[in-house]
Amino acid sequence: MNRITIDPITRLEGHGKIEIFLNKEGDVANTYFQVPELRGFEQFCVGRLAEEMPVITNRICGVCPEAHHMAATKALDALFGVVPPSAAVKVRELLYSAFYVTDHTTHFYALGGPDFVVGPDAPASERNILGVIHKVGVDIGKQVIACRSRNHHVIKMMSGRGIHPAAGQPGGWSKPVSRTERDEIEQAARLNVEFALFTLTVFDDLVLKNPAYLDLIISDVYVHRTYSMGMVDDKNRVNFYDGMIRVVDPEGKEFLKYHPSDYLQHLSEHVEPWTYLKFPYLKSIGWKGFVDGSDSGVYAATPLSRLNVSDRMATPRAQEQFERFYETLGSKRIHNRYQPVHHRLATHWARLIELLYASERMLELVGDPEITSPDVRIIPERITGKGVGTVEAPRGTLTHHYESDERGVITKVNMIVGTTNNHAPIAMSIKRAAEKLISKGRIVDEGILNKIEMAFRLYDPCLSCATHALPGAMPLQVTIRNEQGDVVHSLARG
Amino acid sequence: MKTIIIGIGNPILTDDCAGVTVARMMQERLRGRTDTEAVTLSAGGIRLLDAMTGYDRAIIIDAMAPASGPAGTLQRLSLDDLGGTWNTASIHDMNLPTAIGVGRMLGMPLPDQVDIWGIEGKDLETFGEEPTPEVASAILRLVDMLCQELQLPIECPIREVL
Repeated sequence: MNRITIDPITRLEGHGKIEIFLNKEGDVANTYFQVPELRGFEQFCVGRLAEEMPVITNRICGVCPEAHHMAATKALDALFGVVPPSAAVKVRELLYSAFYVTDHTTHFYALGGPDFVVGPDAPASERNILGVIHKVGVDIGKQVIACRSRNHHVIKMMSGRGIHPAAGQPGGWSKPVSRTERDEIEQAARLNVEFALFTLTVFDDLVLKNPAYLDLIISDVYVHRTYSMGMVDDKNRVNFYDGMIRVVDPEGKEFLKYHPSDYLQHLSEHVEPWTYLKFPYLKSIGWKGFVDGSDSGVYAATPLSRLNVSDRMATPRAQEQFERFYETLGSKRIHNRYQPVHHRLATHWARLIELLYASERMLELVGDPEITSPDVRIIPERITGKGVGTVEAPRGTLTHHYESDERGVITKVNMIVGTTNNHAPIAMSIKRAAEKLISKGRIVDEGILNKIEMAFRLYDPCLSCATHALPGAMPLQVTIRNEQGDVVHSLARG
Repeated sequence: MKTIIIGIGNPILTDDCAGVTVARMMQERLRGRTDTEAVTLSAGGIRLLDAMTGYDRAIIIDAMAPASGPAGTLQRLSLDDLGGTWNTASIHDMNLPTAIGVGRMLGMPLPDQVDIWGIEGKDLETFGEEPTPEVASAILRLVDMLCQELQLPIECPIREVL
């Protein structure tokens, strides 16, 4: 059996490894996506005071500490049986929106965008943010840096620390927003809205108006008709901070809508012998393997899924883009909402619509008269012993579940992180892309391998918290072996 | 000349704490010095660019996967041979050479000199607040070396930081 190994996956650091096994005809027999696992997190947490969790869990990963901090803080609200005042909820969501702006911006310009802006077949040395800046101009590079910088400043101002927020408390937030801070945040939010609109224009001009790229997005290489998951508000609109979990079937019909604390009633995890990472699936449908369709319990939780489960966006400009997205991709309206889009590469576009939503939402929240209220904390007076906190992390639904004894000492920790939700879809997307792109007699070149990696990259997988932060951007080694295990072809890039 | 010492890593991931611990210890020793600062970072990539901007020299310290020698081996690297340290690339954006390339392209004031110290770890995948003994001793050796290089007094209550 021939084997192709992509290890590690460039631009997504990690010992994440894609192995592609070929049969003797040279067709794809199977693919495996493997990542090592971090050990001992539950043991590390058990025995600690529950209130430490927001500052411990945000250390799991240097990439999205804000998401872990927020999920942990919400879990503590439940564990201590306290409902935060409405001003605190708004402050939390405001910070979270600023975080989304930085995260989605970085992904588009540094990770996902280069494949489109520079081109999927461009040499790896150009297919990066330097290539993007070269193509669209130095000014855009400056805007990207400025966008990150102003939002990190907002996060630091509101949460006490730049990278690992420290302000989340059970029952609220440790400090209110001052009027001066509000004015500064408002200015940042206005710039964010402009920047998001500009970024959508870049996507429009360089991707959607390029027939080759549009064809790539809608090609059958990157299609999976799975269930979609995401959080929605009381009007079934996208919300990152709070709401109900809605799951729609591949046709777009609502299949489930549940409170995040009931996740164990609806989700199970499948285990495979070749990886430590588990594969969550919809319990009532069951695990039917790595297959599409309404009979398979596989679901995705991504920016695309979040749009798919929602009736609409909660802000006006994002709503315009939402409609344009579904109309452009040929989705029909059924029961007053769009049918899901299953072209997985469209996730990049969905992410930019979320970038605009996060920017608009930030502006909305900072303009709320209550945002400077000093009433941001209710001191908890009891311990319920159990708390589940869920937010939408940029990479998917993030759930923290803690249990404690009557003193508030942690006895159990369970987490489903964003990327873990998408583990099965990622494995399926890699396999499908490999099957479509590698066939008998076809020379496996770098462009093909990159297109297989694109199937992986579109999920913006963060292996740090699903597994571990590992070294990145090392040369890509690809080895093709014949049935005897001899190397017959190798590719390296660095 | 303004120097920035940047320790990268996860303080609760056993030997991955190496860079962060060195930076924290250097912060203690740098009290009173105005030409040199030390900071910690949780992830590399573009955040390294932010941290280095405005300095003439950067010294980056990070854990490494076991490579050439036993756990605790120190490796002095340059930007050209980078690729082996644990966190200088971010999962979410870019590696260090690319980040520096971006900074230069945008005309940001970046250090002319970037030194990278890698500390080979033994366990970089288990949650824990203490480094392994090999790495703990390497941390102390590196702090001493940096102090000598920067002409700082080396005596300091080390254990309180470790």
